[in-house]
Amino acid sequence: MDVLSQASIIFWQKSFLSDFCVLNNLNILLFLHIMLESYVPILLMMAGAVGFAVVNTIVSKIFGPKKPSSEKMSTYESGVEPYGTAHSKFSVKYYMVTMLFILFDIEIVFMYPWAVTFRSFEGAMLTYALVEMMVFIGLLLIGYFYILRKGSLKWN
Amino acid sequence: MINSLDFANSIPLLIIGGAGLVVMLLETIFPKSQKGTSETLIFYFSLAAIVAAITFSFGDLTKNFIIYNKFIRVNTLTSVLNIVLLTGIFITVLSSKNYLQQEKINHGEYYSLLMFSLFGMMLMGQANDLIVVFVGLELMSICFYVLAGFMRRKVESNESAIKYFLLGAFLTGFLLLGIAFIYGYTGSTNYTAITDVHPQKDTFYLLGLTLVFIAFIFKTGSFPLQMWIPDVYQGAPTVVTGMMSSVGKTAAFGALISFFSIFALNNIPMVVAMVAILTMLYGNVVALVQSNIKRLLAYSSIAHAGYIMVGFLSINSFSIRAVLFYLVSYILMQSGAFIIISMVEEKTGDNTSKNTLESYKGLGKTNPMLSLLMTIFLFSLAGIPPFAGFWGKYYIFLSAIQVNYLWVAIIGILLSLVGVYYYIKVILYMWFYEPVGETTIAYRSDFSYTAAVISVIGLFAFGVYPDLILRYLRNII
Repeated sequence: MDVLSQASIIFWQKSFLSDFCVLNNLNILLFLHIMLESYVPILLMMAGAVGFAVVNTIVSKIFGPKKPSSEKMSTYESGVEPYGTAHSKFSVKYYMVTMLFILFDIEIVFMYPWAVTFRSFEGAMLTYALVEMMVFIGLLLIGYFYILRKGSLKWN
Repeated sequence: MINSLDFANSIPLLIIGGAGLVVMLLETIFPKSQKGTSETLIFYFSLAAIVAAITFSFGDLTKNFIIYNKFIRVNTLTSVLNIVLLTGIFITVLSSKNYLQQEKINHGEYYSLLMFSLFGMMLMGQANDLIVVFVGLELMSICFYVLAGFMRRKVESNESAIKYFLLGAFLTGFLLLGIAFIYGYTGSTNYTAITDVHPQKDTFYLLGLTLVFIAFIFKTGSFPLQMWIPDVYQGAPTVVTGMMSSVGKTAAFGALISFFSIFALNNIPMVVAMVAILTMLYGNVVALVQSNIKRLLAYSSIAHAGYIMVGFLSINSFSIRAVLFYLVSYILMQSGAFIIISMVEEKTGDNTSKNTLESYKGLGKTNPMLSLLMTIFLFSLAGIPPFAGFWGKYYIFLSAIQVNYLWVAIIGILLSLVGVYYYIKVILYMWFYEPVGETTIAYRSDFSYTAAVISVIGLFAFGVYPDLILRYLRNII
């Protein structure tokens, strides 16, 4: 029998835990203890987040004043008066602009740590870092030039 | 840090990556009124870039370096793979020009996407790091999704693209999760570092290897994950189908060779044997009842993935040579057959193309030259000497016998005999039937003919004198 099928049999017969330590109750308890301890802050954070939302909703439901009007009950659209249905077609240009926005947004995300660490470089490393970033920006510029010429940013 | 030596040893990669960008810019620089000029310029520029890259790849054949901070390998195996992939794309570019004009999808982006996908494929083969494999695979796949849907006014092409995209994106998750497990166990994604660790048998390590293998099974279209192949191949533009089914699979198998040898996966012969046998069985049996030529060749390509999988039973220098020889012959005959299909494509009233076997009836009487080329490709696919397809199958099954898997070889040979039936059926339709209605040739193109003739010459030369390839493959350790 080859290794993979052997391993898969072991995999299904025993639990995940049994591969990490010898199977006895003490070891399993120890393992669970170590594993769970590192998750305590996350669990606390989650409990806090859920508690905050639930408590606030209930409190405002009980104590908040209720004076409904037609303005208040209508759909909220960032302050603009709502019109038409929600199921209308969007122009493909919206998606184009959104995608391009994300692309150049990520470019900035890459450039930020580079800019922060750039001054700590010296000598050949400085030139190297500069050239690398220029190559990266150059590649993105070619893409920018392409979409500009193709008219993806024109709004007619 | 990257130094000049790194650039000097990766010239083919740089040429192809640069050519993709230049083609993109050429497409935008010319105004719409000069579309003809830019199209011709882009076409010849792409061909020139590929020829240059092939020339430099021949120079890399004797090298053995690990460059770009241990991310990229250059050795005989990767250089041979590069030459094979570049030749496949050369044939594709040559056969595309008039097909694109006839389908009215002659945009410069097509060549740009071809170049970028080629860059991804070469990166996959040369990768010395699992992340580079991932980046290469994604670059290739994203270009393939777009190319499959390149006939954007046609529903079938869109269907093909969306199916490929959804399944491909899903299976990418498997690959990444597998890489994450391997990283979790070995502490690195780098091949050099992983071989230094000498990984032992561990559940999560093996789980990682299995997940990566599953992703490769999908990309090569082997048995449990082959369902996407017929639908995707049928809807995509015919030249693109020829490229995806030959060059794309070659790239995936090339990366699989490195993956198997680095992780020393010699100990799972039963898994590989099952995958190979079921793939051959499925491909050959389902192809028997197909009435659409593109679907027929799609199922036949599944069967061929099965034959190649036999070479992975136990990875050693002989089986690597056998797989590479098979890939060379497979690229030539598969893309060649699709060039002919793209020319015979029959148009119906509502601008959907029909590729029924019926339209091949009596083709030998109306178009003897076309039929002769198609006959040679089909004979080679069936594995009949004196064409290279025969030697490909010979070496593959010999490599199985050498590691004492005679029964796999026997099953493989029997199943390839099943395959002969549906190849011969098309040949019979062409030469021994009377034409049904009028067979119209979609377009005539000297470029496509040249590409087909290049493939035939290659098949014949390597079939009569296989040492032409083997002399390069012998240097592979």
